[in-house]
Amino acid sequence: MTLGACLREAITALRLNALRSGLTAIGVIIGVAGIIVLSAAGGGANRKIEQQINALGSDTLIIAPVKMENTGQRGPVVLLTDDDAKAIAERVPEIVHITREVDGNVTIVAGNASWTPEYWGVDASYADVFNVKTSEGRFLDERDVRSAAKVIVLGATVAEKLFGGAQPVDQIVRMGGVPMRVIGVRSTLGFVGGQNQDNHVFVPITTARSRLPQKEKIAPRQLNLIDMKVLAGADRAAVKEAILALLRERKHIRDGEQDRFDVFDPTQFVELMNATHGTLSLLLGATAAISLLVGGVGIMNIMLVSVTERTSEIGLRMAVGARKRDILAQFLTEAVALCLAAGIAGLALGAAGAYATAAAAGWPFIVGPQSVALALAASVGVGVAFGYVPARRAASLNPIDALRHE
Amino acid sequence: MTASGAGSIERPIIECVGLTKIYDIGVEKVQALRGVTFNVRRGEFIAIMGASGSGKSTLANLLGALDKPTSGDLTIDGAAIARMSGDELARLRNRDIGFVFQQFNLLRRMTALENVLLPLNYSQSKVSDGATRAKAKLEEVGLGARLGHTPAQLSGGQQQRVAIARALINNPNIILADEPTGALDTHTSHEIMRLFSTLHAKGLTVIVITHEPDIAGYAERLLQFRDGKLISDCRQDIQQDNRQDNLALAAGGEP
Ligand SMILES: Nc1ncnc2c1ncn2[C@@H]1O[C@H](COP(=O)(O)OP(=O)(O)OP(=O)(O)O)[C@@H](O)[C@H]1O
Ligand SMILES: [Mg+2]
Repeated sequence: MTLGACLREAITALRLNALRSGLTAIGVIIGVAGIIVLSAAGGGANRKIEQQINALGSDTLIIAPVKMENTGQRGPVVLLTDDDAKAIAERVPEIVHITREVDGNVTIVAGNASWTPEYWGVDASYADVFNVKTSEGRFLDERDVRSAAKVIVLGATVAEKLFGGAQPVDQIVRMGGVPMRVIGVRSTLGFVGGQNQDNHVFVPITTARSRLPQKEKIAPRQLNLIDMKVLAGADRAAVKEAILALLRERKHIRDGEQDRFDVFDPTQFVELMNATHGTLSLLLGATAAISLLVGGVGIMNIMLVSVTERTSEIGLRMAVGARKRDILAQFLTEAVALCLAAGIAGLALGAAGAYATAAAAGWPFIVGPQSVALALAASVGVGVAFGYVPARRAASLNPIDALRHE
Repeated sequence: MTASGAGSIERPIIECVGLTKIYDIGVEKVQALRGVTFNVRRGEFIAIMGASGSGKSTLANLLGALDKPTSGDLTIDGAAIARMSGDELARLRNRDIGFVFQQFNLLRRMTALENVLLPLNYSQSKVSDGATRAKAKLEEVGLGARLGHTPAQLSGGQQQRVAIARALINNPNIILADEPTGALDTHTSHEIMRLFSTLHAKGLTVIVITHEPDIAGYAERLLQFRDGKLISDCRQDIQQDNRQDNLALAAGGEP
């Protein structure tokens, strides 16, 4: 019997029992949908994690003061200063780039538009620490910092708020009354960890100190943060410890006393998310596998019923010349066709589910050809695996016994 | 080639030697055939009669290669059934023997045409003109206008004609019919028997099992069974009027 003839027969037989076929297929539909949602979510989440790590910069470390009120401990105020940054740059060889940072909020006015983003006063090396790219103009350079130039680099959101579609570069904005020239716009980063990474502006740290109001009153050489890039491949835990030890020494903090600074890795939370995502994938994967298994057993059951119901038909087919393998092929095709149809339905359902998940989680919607192939292969596999026993039973019938079956 | 002229030299199309069949149904063994020996020459028209339970259907199933004898030798067209593989038996059923059943055994979800086409699915050589051939067979049995009807839309006689067309689709040498008129009224039964006579006149070997002497009267040779044994084997004259009708029909039908 040709494959075409087998398929035609299978479709006729399945349509004759459309409701029964449909109900039987539900397990496989759900299983395949699960595979699709799972792999789409996996792809989407990975893509997003990749984006986030890129946005935050890989191999970066940030030093921030420990908020003493949070620890419940008391002690003299210990400040992070320019000298600390210098000492770290000199004494920790794994640090390849380092930038000082002071932060604040100032309303920026451009024409009729105004917007109050956070400003980050940094060194030119900030670009090296965080792989900064600009979509317009350029980032701050060392001359800007040395001369405390009145220049500003806008985040994409800020550029949009202040200038709409217009070209911001070389426009003058007023920052708390100080006229600043826009020299560039940072390439968009989007949202990372639920935060808009484009709602900042960058100014030279020197300009920030001399001309702009700070978030809270800070000492002349005080810093809010120090951002660093670590040599790729270096042992980051060791580097972190070296920095903390250096700071303890510089600030005369005794062993056993509370650290006054924290060194953290901005990609940490991304990794945390990654782990959560892994657990979720495992659960969803197990659910899909169980669903496919249960679906397969359902298919097997209904195929056994079908073989019993059609025993005399099988006898007749044998009487007019069907070989064992023809009967085997017929019932196997029927099981596979049913599973494949279920697989296609599951694909559609899964794509819808993946789309909804992607929209809700804010990651890209990806249903790749591999996951489509995987889903279809899984459904064909289930059809073959669970259709074989019933088909085998049909094929091993003796023609005359089958014919006489009521 | 004429069957009667070559009969003495030609090998019989069916040779049965000491056929027995025992059904083992657990509690007891039923001896359905107890040593049956006879030959069928190519082109013969044979009727088989006997009381219920005398083993007629058992014999028909053996001749149709649907079942194997417990002992004895059965040779069809020179090939010993006992030595044939499952695939070879399937090929024999597909190509060389057309089996007609009492209950027609049509597939209810298929049209007349599709039912007739069914054996072609299992032909081991590729058939390209299947539909044309099936239509021709349906016309041959007088159902040219009912191609698209399903069994439910056909009378018993018409269903049996479809079944006969199906048996003929691969141009077999032998037509084997187990009580083909058992489910039909007298008038329709005679129509079906005239159809078999026509096929016989075209050179087919026809074997019909029946309970009715009227029906057996169409055949030129009558085998009678009792308790699994062949008790009588005699030639008989076909009713004159039938024969003439059939010869005329056959002459018209031959290409
Ligand atoms: N599959 C079977 N299992 C057990 N016994 C069987 C089977 N088929 C037939 N028999 C027995 O074999 C004997 C012959 O049966 P068979 O069907 O050949 O008779 P028959 O001549 O065709 O009868 P009828 O005219 O009623 O059709 C009977 O006693 C029957 O009960
Ligand atoms: Mg019988």
